[in-house]
Amino acid sequence: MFLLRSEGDVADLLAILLFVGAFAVAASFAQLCRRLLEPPAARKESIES
Amino acid sequence: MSWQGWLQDIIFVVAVLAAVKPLGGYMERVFAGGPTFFKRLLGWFEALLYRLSGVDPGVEQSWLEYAGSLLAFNLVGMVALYGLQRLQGMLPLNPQHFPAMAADLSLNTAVSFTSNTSWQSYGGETTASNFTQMAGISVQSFLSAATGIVVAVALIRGFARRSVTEIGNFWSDMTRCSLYVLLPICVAATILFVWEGVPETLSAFQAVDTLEGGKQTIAYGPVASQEAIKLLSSDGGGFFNANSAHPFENPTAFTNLIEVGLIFLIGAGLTNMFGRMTGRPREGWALLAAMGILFACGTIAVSRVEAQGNPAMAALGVNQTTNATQAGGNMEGKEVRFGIGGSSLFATVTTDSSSGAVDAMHDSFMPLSGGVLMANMMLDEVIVGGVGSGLFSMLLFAIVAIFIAGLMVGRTPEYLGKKIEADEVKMAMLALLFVPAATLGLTAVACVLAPGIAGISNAGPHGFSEILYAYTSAAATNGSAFAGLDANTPFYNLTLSLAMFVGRYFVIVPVLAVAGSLAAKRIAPTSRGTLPTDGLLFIGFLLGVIVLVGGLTFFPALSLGPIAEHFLMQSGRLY
Repeated sequence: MFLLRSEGDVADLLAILLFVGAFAVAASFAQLCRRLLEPPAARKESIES
Repeated sequence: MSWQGWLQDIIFVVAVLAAVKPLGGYMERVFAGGPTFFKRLLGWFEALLYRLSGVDPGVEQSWLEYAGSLLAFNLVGMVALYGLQRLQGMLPLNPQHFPAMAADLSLNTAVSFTSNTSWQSYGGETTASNFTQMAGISVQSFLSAATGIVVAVALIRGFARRSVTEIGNFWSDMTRCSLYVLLPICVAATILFVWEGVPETLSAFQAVDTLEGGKQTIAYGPVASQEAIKLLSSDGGGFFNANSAHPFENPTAFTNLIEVGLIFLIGAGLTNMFGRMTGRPREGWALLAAMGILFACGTIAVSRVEAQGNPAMAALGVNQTTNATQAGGNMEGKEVRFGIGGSSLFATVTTDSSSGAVDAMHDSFMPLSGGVLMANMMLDEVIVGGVGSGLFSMLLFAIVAIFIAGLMVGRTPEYLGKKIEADEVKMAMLALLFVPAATLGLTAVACVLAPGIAGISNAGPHGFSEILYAYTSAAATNGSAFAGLDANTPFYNLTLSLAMFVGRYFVIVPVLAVAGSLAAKRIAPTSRGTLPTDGLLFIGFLLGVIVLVGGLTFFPALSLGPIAEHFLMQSGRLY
């Protein structure tokens, strides 16, 4: 953690992690929507595989 | 309100309506990749951008790929804007030597401008360098507006296409929207603003001696160019803290009219583009008519309430009538040069759209007017709305309306020849429910936690309205503030960021899913049993669904805030 020399650096790291985390959640939500839109047969196949 | 105020409203409506057809036709050509004057002028630059980025505009994407590209692009934009604010002390074009903005404030601002909200917990002239304003905030105003527009375009393609999985190419849509739609209008508007006296300079602030012998610093900068995209993009983030109430952002009644016109311009034009792309122009006019009815209701209500003035002032014998020497009505928080008419129109337009620019302080409006402004945002940006987001939100309501109509008559619902089935309704309801969930949930949290209560300046229902307005504005990606709320605290910066993020991306993703689902369907021929969706009956039904689904969700919250305050004011209690 030698790069994190001040409170500001820690805050910056946290902010960037928050951005990435938030967009990762949004991307997961998109995947969830895709699964909700799949026809039931395809969804069943996907679960079985 | 004076007759000049009503005349101004009429001129505004006529001017916007006059622009709808030509702009709709032009945007249709742009997104189809057709020939336009600006394509001949800037086509080489578009091709260069594709070559540099390795994008093939001819390769289209599925809705999931489109959403992935959009999310990745917005993530990069958010991180870049955050970095600019944190590093502005070391970057050029900082004549006032502003230091880095605080981390929580930078985070809030980055989310705010990338999500097309423009909630500002800072005063631009005291916090942000010219470089941050130009390369960060203004650039994101362009890109976030383009993001909203291309999502609407993708959804329209979903309706217009048949039996395909692709809904367009995100990268080429973004490039064409920025280069051929936003940029030309902004250049023209910037020149107009400069002509009217809005500054456009990179010089340091001017220190002057006042007539009283004191010293004053006059702040200015590249205001005109930021002003143009601020309004056109329905972003609304001002160069100055006072936003469009500042004489350098909005110097005259003429610029005031131009500004409200710019806010509605693209949103209204998109309805026409929708009609053209689907091959059913009347459908576009039907949507615009529904928007227009809601706009007229809000504008007339706010104008009337503000013109009547404050009954507590009347009880003290204050003359609030409109006459040759005074504007009359409730002039608290309003600019004298705009009066009741200009302020009421601006406030309604800015909350109908997702703009958030203000030329008067909404906190000082009468309680019922404040309630109307909140209700405008709570209806999910369907009254013309944000650029793109207004149209796609309206189309979501149309899907829900047609579904309910289908249930009532026992037929499979169809809209524009596409069967509306469980998939589309699930996605539409997801998109429509995230905004109230974020708004009401976070308002409730702020009302019970100490850091939330610490931010309000007024007791009673007015204090509640300050909190409710902030989260409504954030989740609706509007960005206007009620004032009176000290929002530049870690609590509000973080929770408002969450509301903005959810209100933007958790709506866009299901909208793109609907686009993909619709594009894969066949277009059924119109039969005798098809419900016409371009007539008065459907417009009325659509309005009913918007008010019931969108508005009533918030009615209990409005009762605790502006409605309670109105009745308490009638009994002589003020907050």
